[in-house]
Formats: sequence, structure tokens, C-alpha cells
Amino acid sequence: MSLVINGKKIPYQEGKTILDIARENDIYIPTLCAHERLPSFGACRLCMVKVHGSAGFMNSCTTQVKPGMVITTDSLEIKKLRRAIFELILSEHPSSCMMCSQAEHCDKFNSGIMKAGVITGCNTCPNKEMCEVRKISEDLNFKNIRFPLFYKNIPIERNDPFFDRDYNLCIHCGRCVRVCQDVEGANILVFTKRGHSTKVGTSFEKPHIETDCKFCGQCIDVCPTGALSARGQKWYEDCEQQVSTTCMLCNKGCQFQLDVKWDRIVAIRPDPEYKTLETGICVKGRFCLPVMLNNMDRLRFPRILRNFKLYPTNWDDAAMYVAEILESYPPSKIAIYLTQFLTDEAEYLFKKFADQLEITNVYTKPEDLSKITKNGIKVLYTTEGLPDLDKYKTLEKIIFQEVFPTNGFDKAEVILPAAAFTEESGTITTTRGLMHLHKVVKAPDLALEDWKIVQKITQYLDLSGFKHLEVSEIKHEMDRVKYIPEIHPVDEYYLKYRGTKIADKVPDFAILLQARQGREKPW
Amino acid sequence: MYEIVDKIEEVPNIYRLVIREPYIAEKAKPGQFVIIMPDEVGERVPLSIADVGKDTFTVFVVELGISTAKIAALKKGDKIYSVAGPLGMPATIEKYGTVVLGGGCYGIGVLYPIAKALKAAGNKVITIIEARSSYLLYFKEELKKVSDEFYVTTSDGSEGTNGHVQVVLDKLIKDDYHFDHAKFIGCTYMMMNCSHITSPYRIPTTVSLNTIMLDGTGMCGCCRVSVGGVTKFACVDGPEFDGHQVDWDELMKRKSAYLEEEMMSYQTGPHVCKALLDQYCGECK
Repeated sequence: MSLVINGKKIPYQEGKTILDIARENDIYIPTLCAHERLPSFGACRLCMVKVHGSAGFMNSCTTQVKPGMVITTDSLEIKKLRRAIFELILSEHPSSCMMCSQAEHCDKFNSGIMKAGVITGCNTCPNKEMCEVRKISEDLNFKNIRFPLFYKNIPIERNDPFFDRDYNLCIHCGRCVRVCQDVEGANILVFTKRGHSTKVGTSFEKPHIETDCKFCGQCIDVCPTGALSARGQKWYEDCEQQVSTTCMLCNKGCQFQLDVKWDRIVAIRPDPEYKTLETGICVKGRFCLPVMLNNMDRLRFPRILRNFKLYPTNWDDAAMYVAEILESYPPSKIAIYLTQFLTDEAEYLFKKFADQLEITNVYTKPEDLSKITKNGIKVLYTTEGLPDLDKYKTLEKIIFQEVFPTNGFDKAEVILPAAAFTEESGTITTTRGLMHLHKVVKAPDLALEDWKIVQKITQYLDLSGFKHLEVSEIKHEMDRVKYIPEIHPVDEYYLKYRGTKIADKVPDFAILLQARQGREKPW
Repeated sequence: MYEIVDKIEEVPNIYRLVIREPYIAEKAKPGQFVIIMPDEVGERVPLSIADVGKDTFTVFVVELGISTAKIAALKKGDKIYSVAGPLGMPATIEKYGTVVLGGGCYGIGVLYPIAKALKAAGNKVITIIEARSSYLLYFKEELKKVSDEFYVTTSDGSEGTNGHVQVVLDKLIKDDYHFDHAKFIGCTYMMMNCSHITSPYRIPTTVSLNTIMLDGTGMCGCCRVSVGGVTKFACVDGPEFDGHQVDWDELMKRKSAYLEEEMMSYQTGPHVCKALLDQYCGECK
């Protein structure tokens, strides 16, 4: 059984729409509302095709194929129809830049997109480089609208954390409504009002923070226009690079794709290639991560305490200083605290390090800290900022290896700046199994990966087996000695990264937690 | 702290702020500007003075970044952290004969006092304004009152001529209009285009440049522009310059110097001004 599209014979497949079959066979049909992750909807009407033998035109995204169908996807008649439909869509979408005679010249000269509050044209739109409406206007070589233009003048919505919403740009494709209902199952976004005043929004037009919105950001990812945008992840135009890595903020092991520009993370979205990810990523990964890791407060230089002040120094001095401390105390008086946010390789190396130095006090949980007083620990090498270190009177020296200057920073003898997980490669064991980390950006200034810091220290301690150049070599060694890493007990609602509360670094996240205090789960 | 006496959203993104500050109101002349800081860590935003009242002055703010967004978020009765001014040289107002004025964006509002002064000096004033679309045009009635001829252009053709100021300007020149002087205020791109039109006809042209500025008194040099091969400071030598001699390419490049910081400032929320960086950077505490 087969069907014919544009004179080409194509095998029939049951249950597929004309659009599906056309796309599989590289036949281009313009569309704004269809999306591979979403059920068919038939809102934009741009995908109209001619099915021979039936009257008028048919929506290719909602019409299922039948054996023997003869379809034309492109003809003068269809072109005219699509043009008219697109003109109608654009007459209510701020489209002046698309029709401007000097648009190209303007793009060449102007210094980037104008970071306007209200979007009044492509040059003020954060979505300019990714816009699907713009792409179709280019495909149709669109320069003129016959209909009177209408600006809806809906007030923009900026009262929610993370989101900016300008529904004046909305073309009512319903993708956000469908992703919220059918993929995420949240049912927050709906069509409010009807007829010409139809608008996307929450029930009763409440702010999202007052609804059960999870702030997963999937609505933003599917929006074909710039109507929905992430406040802190726009205005960078085109990214220089896209890298996929695994989120380490909890043990679920979600994959995401990061947009990189100026060697910084500028945007994050769920990995489009990662099929096991049925729903989106959570608010921590989607919105908090770049804000937190690009923070100015990051630790950047190793420091040593001299004259009651932590002075910046180089790695050799700092590593030698740590080695001297570790050598001048008996191993039984030294404790190492391993954070839950170490890669498997770093954790293995730390354990090997403790083993060779005969340090038996390796703590991994906050409860373990109670042993400090009991065992009379004098030196604490911590990889996480720990609260209330004052109360352990036996402690004489603290070696502080962290990403941020958090609890315990001011009590430390040595500061060792660590790279965050987006700045290192390696593997982590998650509830999804073994996941890979890929280096997305460079760590700030002198900050180093945790495993490299351990190796720096071992240089001055006469230990063997710490001469790895690549993280993969450690992985091979782990496999050889049959070391089995554990899943860290960090669930989705864990609110810290190492010793730092995420809300301390991400003001919008603090607002979210504050507003949802009484709820069992904040999102 | 300076009180906002009135705040009106003229059109999307463009706000008219009336700020109480008797000293500035007393001294300000058309073409001068003030520098406003929305809060202690906000950027210093140079804004042209559009009008003066008894003890107040008016500015037009376009929301185009984090600091102007902060200004746009202020309400009537709120206080502005810092206002400095009046700064810069006043616009040259003489009896030229026939003067053509071009304005776009915030320049439409700023054009008004200049048009009024030029008219009062006995000039024939022809005003052309531009916007993307009809819903972005404002101050039409006011400008019409102080102009002998008044033209409107929009990029999408929804009102007036389809196109930009230079389209009407070019047409008028070709229709044998004689202009003795031209003044343009608006985005850099529009001022550049208009200057290119008047240049072959040797019409004396002044443009009001809107560079990145820090102190506004000629100390920092952020606002450097090359005019006729000589480095000038837009804050003390300007903001008005000869449009035919400005190095536009250099100006555009200088304006995009902080694109990265401008974008990243939305991530970290209230951003830190470059001059305050040392105090905020974790390493310099």
C-alpha cells in the first residue's frame, strides 16, 4: 500500500498524519503549531495541503493518511492560501522589523538586540535568532501585509520569578498549553477567554507562583515566538557552542543542553536528544544553575592564612602548605569530609588518598561530624562548607575546598578553589545509572577540578599512583580495582550545592521558596 | 533622593518621567542632559532633558537594559537614588532660516523643546519623526504645534510614509526644499543614516550622540567619539556634534563594548557597575 505526495510514491504507514509522512520524506510543509513532542492541534493552519478528491484544503498535521491518497503540498493556490494565513497571523504579531526595508542594513550596524521590556519588533526580541515566525517569513519572502495591523497592548507579565511573558507576541499555537497539559501533566497554562480576546494564561490570570506551576520552563522551550522567555537566559542572540552534560544538583541524573557564549553558561534546556527524559528538567537545573555558577562570589584563587588574613597565592604554595599540615599531625587526628557532589573519580581519588595516608576518619554525612570531638580531630580537610565549625573545640586547622566562600570559609587555614560540575569531565552514579559529565566552560581563574587538587597535594607527600593526566585514566583504574561508586543520597528537593544554599545565590529561587513555604513540595 | 512627580508610559517601552529637582530645572537648557542612577549599584544612565517646569524637569526613558528596566519599574512618588545635571553643552539655537528636525525613539520627546526654541528664534521648522509602527508614535500633537511642516514615518507603513526619517528627508530635498540646518536625535543608526543623506547637499547637520557614559564630567573618557579625526568627549564637548564628521563605525563598536555584561546582568539580577566591581568581586573583599 502506498500514497503519492507531489508525484512521489511513498509507502503508507498506519496512524501517521500527512505531516509526519512528509517530514520523514524530507518534504517541507511550513508549520508553527506542530511539534514533535506534542499531540496534533491544527491551530496555525499553515500546513494546509491539497488532498485530491476532497473539497478544499486539509490540515496536514491533523489529517491521517489513507492508502492511495494523492497529495500536493505546494502549488500556486496553496502558496496564496498560506500567504494569506500568515499575513493574518502577522497582522497581530509585532512584525515591523520583518517588513522594514532597511532591516538587513540595520542588523549589520546596530549593536545587538535592544533589551527592551516590551517587544515591539524583531530587533527588540530575545528570540530573534531562534524565531520560527521569522523563519517562515523568510521562507515566504514576506515583505508586506494587506490587512490593517493590530497591536493587542496586553500588559506584559514580569511579576513571576524566572519568567518574562509578553502575550502581545502570542500567535495562539497552543504549544505551551499542550506541553503543560500533555507532557508535564501540570495543567497550569490554559486558554483564558474566548474568541478574539483568547489569551494564554493561568486560570483566573493568577501569577504562576500562586499556582502549582513547577517552573520547569518547558513552555518557554516550545514557544515558537519570543512571547515566553527566561529572564536570565536571553539577549545573548546566538550561542557560540552547545554542550550536553548531566545535572549534579541531585541524584536523578537528568541530561541537559547548555548554550555557551563568552565562555559562560547563558542558557539551559532539557537535552533534546535524551529520550528517557519524558518530562522537563526541574527549576533548579533549568533556571538556577547559570545564575549560581556565573556568580561573582566564586572562589578563584588558592589562599593561605598569614597574619590573620587569607592571602591569594598559587597552587604550588597552597598544595605545599596543605602537605605540611597533613604531615605535621598524626593521621588519627586528621579527618576528611567528602561532599555528595564529587564525581566518582574525585571520590575514588580522595579515598585512595586517605588510604595511603592512613587517615581513617573519612566522613560523608553531616552526622559524622559529631565524631570530631570524640576522636579529638585536629585537622579537618573539608570539600564542603560546613556550618557551626566553631563548636568543635579540638579543631586546630581547617582546609577548605569549595566552590563558594560559604560556612567555614573564614575559619579556614587554606582555601582551595574547586571547579563546579559544569567545569569538569567525569562520571557520576545516579538513579539513572552511570552518567557522564562533560566540561562545558572553563573554571574561573585558578579554580581546579577536585581530583586535580588532590593530585597537586600528593606531589609534596611522596605518594604513588597520583600521576593521572586525564580523568579517564582514573576511571580505568577504578574499573581495574573493581571500585563500585555509590548513589549519593541527594534527592530532587535538596536545596544546596555543596555547602551553599541555592537560594542564597539565586534571588528568584529564594522568592519561589518563600512564596511556597507552607507546601509539602515547593515545586 | 529625588522624587518622581509623574510617570507616564507614552508608548510601550518609552516612559516620561517628571522629576523634582529645582536646581536642574533652573539651569537646564534645551539639548542638555542629566545622569540618573536608579539605585546604588545601577549603571549611570544619561538622559536628555526634554522639558523643564517650575521646580521639575522631564526626561524620556527607553527601557533597553537592566538599569533602565529598574527606572521603568519606579512609580509615581518613588525616589531616584541619584540625579546629576544639567550636563553637556546646550543645543545651538540660532536663526538659521529653514531647519529640518528628525527624531525617533526617545528623540521624539526630546525634539520638542528644541523645536520650540528654534521656532521661537524665528526659524521655519520642518519636523520628521519615525517609529516602528503607529502604536509607537507619541507627542504628535505637541510637535505639530511647534512645527511648520510635520511628517510621520513608520517601518511597517501603518501610519504616514512607509520607511524612515531619511526617506522623507531625501524626498523633500529632491522636491527642492532648501534647508539651512538639520538636527537629528534618536538611535545612532537613524542619526547616521540621516547624516549620510544631508552630507552630499552640504546641509549643516548636528546630531545628539548617546554614548556609554560614566561620570558625565569629562573625567573617565567612556564617551569618547572621533569627530573629524579628533577625539571628543560626548559628555562635555557634546552631546551635539557635526553629523558629517562623526566616525559612525567606531561609535557603533564602542556602544557594543559591554554586550556580555549587559546580558549577564539579567542572570545575577541587580548588577554591579564596573566601577564598583572591586568591592563586589569575591576576590577583592
